[in-house]
Amino acid sequence: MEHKEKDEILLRLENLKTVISSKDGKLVPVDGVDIEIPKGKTVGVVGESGCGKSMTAMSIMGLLPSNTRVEEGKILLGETDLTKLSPKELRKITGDKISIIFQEPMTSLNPVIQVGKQVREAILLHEKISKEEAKQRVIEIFKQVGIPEPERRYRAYPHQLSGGLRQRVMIGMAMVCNPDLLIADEPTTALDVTIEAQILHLMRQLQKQKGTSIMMITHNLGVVAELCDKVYVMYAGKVVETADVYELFKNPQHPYTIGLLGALPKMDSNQRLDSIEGMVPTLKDMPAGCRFAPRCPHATEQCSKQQPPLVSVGAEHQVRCFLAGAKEEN
Amino acid sequence: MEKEILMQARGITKEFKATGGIVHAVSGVDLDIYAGETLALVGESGCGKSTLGKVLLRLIPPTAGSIQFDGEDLTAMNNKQLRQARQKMQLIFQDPYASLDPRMNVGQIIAEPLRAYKIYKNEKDEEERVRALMDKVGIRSEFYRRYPHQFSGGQRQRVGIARALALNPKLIVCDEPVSALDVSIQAQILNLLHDLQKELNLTYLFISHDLSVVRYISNRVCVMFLGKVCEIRDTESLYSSPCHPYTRFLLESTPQPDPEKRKEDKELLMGEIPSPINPPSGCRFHPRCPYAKEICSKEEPTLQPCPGGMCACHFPLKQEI
Repeated sequence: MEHKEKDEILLRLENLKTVISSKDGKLVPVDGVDIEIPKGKTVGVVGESGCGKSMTAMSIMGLLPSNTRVEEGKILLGETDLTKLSPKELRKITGDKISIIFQEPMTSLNPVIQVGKQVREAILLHEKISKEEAKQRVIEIFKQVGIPEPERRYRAYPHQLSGGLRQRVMIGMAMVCNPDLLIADEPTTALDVTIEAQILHLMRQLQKQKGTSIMMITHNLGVVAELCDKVYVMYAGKVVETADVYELFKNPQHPYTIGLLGALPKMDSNQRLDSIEGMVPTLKDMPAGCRFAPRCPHATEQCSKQQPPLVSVGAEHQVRCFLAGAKEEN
Repeated sequence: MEKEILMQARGITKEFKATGGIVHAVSGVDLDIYAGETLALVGESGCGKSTLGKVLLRLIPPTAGSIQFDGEDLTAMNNKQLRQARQKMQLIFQDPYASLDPRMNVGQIIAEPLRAYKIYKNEKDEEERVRALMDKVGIRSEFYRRYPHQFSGGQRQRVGIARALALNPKLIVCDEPVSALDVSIQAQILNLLHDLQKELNLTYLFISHDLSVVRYISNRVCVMFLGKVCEIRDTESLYSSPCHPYTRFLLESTPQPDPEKRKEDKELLMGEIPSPINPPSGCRFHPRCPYAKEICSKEEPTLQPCPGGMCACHFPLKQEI
């Protein structure tokens, strides 16, 4: 792996900080996040509820609620900083170059419009072609995403489709303009496991055919292991560890990552689970030092006072922990 | 060692009327639950696992079938007798947000079953018992007067567990008790359930769609598909060498947290779950089954002995020994 060529970076988040202005004052769900998404690769962003993973995706898409905004940092797509664009300019790029799919396709689809027409609308917004041509494109993409009887399904309403088919429609809609980046926010969480396997397989196939980069946002480490090339582990608004997927699962360094992996039930053992005591801090009272310090079995005094920097512990393996650096030196 | 049967269900069938016909949610299920074990019911949406759980507790009456529980026939009881029997069986729900009354404090929530059965004459004894229960499930007893919204999901699930334990039940049906929780909290609750079982000699019927969780918590597993039992075996044998093709697909589809085990060309189970309104003839799994032969669409397979349990398939998979 040493002589691996450096990947070309498609999207780069630099010190991204997203803030919510609320009656409790300024809350920071995404606090100085750096993420790089290479061309044609799948990058996993993993963490538990409230770690800021979805908010990071929404910041990229410019889909933040009205009381929330990107306060600092850059979102670089090639040379373009998305944070500097007007909503209109951004909308041109999202859809053309970046698409997103969500966990629950039912809430992202309009219940009173036929699904085919909804996908056609996405094409017509971005390309100057006739309605009939656009319809043919929709049927073509429905075939590609494995929707049986695409001509008939074109006229179906969302409630007439199963969860798996609805997610295929969403993926079709996301892929129809051949985006460079697909952001998938918990795309299989609401699906049954055999259907989940189908959808993951589909995403892998589409990536192979079209070379799309995928940013996979999930809480499921199984999905990460299955699909991703590179992983970012987030905790309480910060990236705490990032590595190549094989490295991360074989050699986790951050106590949180180690804890998460230990807490997972495994299919090949019934050993007692390691649980992480306590719970995720709320946005209102973030610890002053390392965000994980109150739950960390190895925390020292320094951890509760200072925020640890992200340090390299190997090729493309970085950890936000005072102890990881120390271990490396010994 | 002879195992004591705590609950024995025979020919359980549950049908619902719906627009478009009758939903065959559970069709002729036989099930034994042994005292002190954890039996898991697994399957995908609509397989009837939750309905079966509710029927076994007699929360809804079965369309047909009988249930023996702790030496008594639940299906022959009148409401008064049922009420007495229900002390011994409790339920833990999936959603710890929806299953606790937001206007009751934690003390009242946990005391509710005690009050319903008039267990304690004076309030002091009751409070003492509630505080002991809180301690048992790991909630600090100074939170006695707090309300559900002041707790996190994991703590709320602990409150639900304390309430289920209040009447010293023999059987607890856990319906997806950790599905709504984050991984780190899920581990806490699974370990708690495990410890409580040992300490209080509880029997669990554990309903779940998550095969990794089931592997961890259960002694035996019952795999359901569209209202029927496919396979019911001890956990070890089922996971090491599934008998029913559907079980094998479920196991293979579950994403494993180990990239070394990644298989990009793994065999996928195609198609979707058929409708329980018009279940397929013969083996209900046959339209999705890649190994189906003619007999599968004509004749329904019955449960036959296989290593570590029973399996209902005309062409069971070879056992790896």
